[in-house]
Amino acid sequence: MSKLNEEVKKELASFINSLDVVLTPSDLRAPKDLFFDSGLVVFEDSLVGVDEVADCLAEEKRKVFLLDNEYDDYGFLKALIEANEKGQWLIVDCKIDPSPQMISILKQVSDRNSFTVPNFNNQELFSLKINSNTRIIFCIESKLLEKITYPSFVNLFGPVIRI
Amino acid sequence: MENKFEFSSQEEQRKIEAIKEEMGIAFYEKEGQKFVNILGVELETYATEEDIKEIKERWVLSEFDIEVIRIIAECYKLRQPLMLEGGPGAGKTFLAEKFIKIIHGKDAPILSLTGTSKLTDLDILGHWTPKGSDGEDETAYREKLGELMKKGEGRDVNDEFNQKLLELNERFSSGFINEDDFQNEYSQLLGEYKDKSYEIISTMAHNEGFIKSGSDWQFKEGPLLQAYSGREGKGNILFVDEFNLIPSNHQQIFLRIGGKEGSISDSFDFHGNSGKNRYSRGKDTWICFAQNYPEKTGGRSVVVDAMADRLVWKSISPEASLQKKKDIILTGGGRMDSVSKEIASVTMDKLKISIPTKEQLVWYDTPDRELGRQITQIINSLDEIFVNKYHQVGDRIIGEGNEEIDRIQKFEFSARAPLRFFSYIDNFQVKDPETGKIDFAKTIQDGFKRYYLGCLVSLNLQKEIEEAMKEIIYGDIGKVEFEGEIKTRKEVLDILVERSCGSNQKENVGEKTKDTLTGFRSFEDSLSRKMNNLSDKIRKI
Repeated sequence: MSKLNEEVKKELASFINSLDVVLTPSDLRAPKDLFFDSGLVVFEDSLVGVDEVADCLAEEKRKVFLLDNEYDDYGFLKALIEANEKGQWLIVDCKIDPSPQMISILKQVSDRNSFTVPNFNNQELFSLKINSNTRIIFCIESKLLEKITYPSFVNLFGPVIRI
Repeated sequence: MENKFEFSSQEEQRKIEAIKEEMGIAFYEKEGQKFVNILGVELETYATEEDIKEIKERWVLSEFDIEVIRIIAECYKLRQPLMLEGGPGAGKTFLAEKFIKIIHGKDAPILSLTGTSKLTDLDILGHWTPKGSDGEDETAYREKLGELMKKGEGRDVNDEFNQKLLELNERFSSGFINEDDFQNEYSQLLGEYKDKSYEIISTMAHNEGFIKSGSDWQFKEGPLLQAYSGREGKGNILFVDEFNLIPSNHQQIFLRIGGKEGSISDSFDFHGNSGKNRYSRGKDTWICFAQNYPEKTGGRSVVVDAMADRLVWKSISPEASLQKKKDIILTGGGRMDSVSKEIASVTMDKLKISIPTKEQLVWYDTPDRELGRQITQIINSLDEIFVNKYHQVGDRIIGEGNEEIDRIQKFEFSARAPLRFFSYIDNFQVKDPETGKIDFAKTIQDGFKRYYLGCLVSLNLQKEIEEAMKEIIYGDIGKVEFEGEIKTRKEVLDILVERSCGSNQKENVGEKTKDTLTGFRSFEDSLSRKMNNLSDKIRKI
């Protein structure tokens, strides 16, 4: 049973919808190059968690990944690739300060909806263009958010919602 | 068929117009190779004509963009590592990535590194890993590796390396050792560090069961080494974003990219895969850095002097971004194509950017050597004026509280700046459109802006020093006695150019010498690569 009240559910639905439909240029110099954003959900209430966010999407449309190991770049990448192949939304339950590699991926996705990483999948450079049906949502507790070492972490995302 | 973008002395003005018609970025093919001409800077490209066309169509160019893309093109051509510094939204990442696409194609992968305070040498250079490990195995291994390097023996090794590197930097900064000695000692230090790291990592990996025998290792090259010799030795352009978020001890890893005459080093020495210890610079290797101002955006540190000195530095002042915003608005966010083209055309006309001539003069090798003497004297004067003024008043920036404050980012201005300047003069000489002769006064002016004024944020300080520069070159302050008469430096330079070009024999001698020197450098590079390959083969045996 959802722990969210109706108002918060509406806000979350609006957040999901804006992630789904809104495209913006990452730089005003190229206004025709439109990209979708990643989203950030900040839990102010410790009783609320990633399940409430996941429930906003149909099961076949989402993939949840638990990020609780800062060295698990591989796990994060693998989950993203799998979600991307199926056009699913990747919902990341973030329990740690993300690694530099993860930050780099999020930044690249934010800038151009694609990314390149070295030494993955037996490739010197592995590149992936994000499926237009795929989105990334990071879910994080507000106390952890304050401890994230990358100072522009919130700027990696478009819509941000606090629940 | 004549290439409309390749200049010759008689038709240069027409060709400049042709470049402007293409919004400053023109694709062409020559002898089966593809080129892009960016405001007169000719570069090889892997992109197609359609790629370049599409990139330009979707880009609302502003005067500022053109200035910066030209700087990027110049630094790429000369293989001088570049730092773009500016506020958030200034366009640093955008312009760097656009350039990479112009060179490598619109869908080319972009090798990049995002600085964070957690970035370590493992992320930058790469790391040893059990052969064939991937997936969950690698995650478990990296977890143990991370713990090892953060605590216990690994941390001790890191601390020792950082301390020795700090001392080495201090000895170099204070002049106790020269550049060559610094590079040699740095390579040695890095080698020792990697040997010690390998020892403790190997012990850990055996104890934890990640590997069974000594041969079960592989080295996964990180972005910096891939920049040098990825793509089967051709190298990559590496874009390092948020550089000043990287802890200063790890920033120092990049010191090794400093090479001859202020360009990227010919190789990066490192203990890598299968005993290889030298990553030679590929033909496409280049590194571009970007960062926000440490004074204006929290969490950023300064770049250490020794590292800042290895970079061509372009500071993007807030005022420069304002015109961009206006252009975006006037084009309706790019919706009004005709207005976009109009703005681009006006921009091109307003531009004071000089297009380099194809016919470069070997200025240091004229028969009487006087041209070289004059140029070096001027550059010496300009360097002195700039450095004295800089140390006297320092650079200023509008801080987070909207008040003007001293910049905390400082610069050394070692001999690298004039050495880069000379490379610039070798390659980007421009002609006086009225006389058709090479205008060294203008060339020097452009180079001075590039390597000295470009690193300043304060427009007032830039203007002040620029005025002093003009006085040296064109004014009374810089006048010298030349053959019994008092003349401005500009007048003397023009006379000497006239003499250098007046005699065909003199010009041919200069050209022959230039060809010989170019050939010698190519031979030197080729020999160096062959020696490295031979060393690798011997090592494998």
